[in-house]
Amino acid sequence: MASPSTKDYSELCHSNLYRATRHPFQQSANLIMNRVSSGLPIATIFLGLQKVYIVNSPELVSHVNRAPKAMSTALPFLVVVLGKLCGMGQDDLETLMKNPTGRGSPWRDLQECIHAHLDAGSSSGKEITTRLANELWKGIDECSQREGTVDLLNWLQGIFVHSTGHAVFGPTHCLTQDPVIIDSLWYVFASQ
Amino acid sequence: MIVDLSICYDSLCRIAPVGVLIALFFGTLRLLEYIVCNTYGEEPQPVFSRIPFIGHALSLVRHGVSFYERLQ
Repeated sequence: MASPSTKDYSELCHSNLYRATRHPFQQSANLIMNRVSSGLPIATIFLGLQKVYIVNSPELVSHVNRAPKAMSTALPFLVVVLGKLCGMGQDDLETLMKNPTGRGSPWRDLQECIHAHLDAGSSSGKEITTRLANELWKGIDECSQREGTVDLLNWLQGIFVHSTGHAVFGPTHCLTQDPVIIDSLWYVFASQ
Repeated sequence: MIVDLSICYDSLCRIAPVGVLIALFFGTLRLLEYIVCNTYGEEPQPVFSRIPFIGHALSLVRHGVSFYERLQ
């Protein structure tokens, strides 16, 4: 089977997401695509009795992420990740994941809150942009004082991600902990 | 032709009782997996592991994130 082009991906994703919104009671993940007919890198695996869809393409993952209302985010592994990563208690997790796609639910409110604060024109958005610009300026200034040649692409990729992480998460952001994360991010972006 | 099943059973038990039991056990588990863990309609094609039910979880623990790439 021939590998589908980027245009094929896009059209298929859009059509399936459209169908997902037309049929909200069906599992929208089911509608994302059919691996057999489309040849897209998506598979179903079972972890015990839990059904998990594996999307093996950064572009398709981004399409899936753009449908938060259609996709159920109350996945058991997400609860585990939030519990371990954020240190949330069982009661808090149950409250957060209760009816996650319903309007007025804590999870939906949290998502809308995040989107509102990162929206263009918001005060927090302006603050992030200012910090980002400052960090970029510092990076350029630091680079100008270096001796020898600089791999411009690597430097630009590193400074851009670092500045964004600093602006959004603060000076002790996770991207400073492991440089491999930055390489992985650009690998994902390059694949899209 | 008349076949004495008890002789066959005794022979099997003598030759490889443990192997047969294991094969039956895995066969039953695999059958259960096909019945319980199936997909419907337009869902993506299921990928079954060698070990029923827990094979993917074990692979995930063993290979980490690269397990997802191995699924391709």
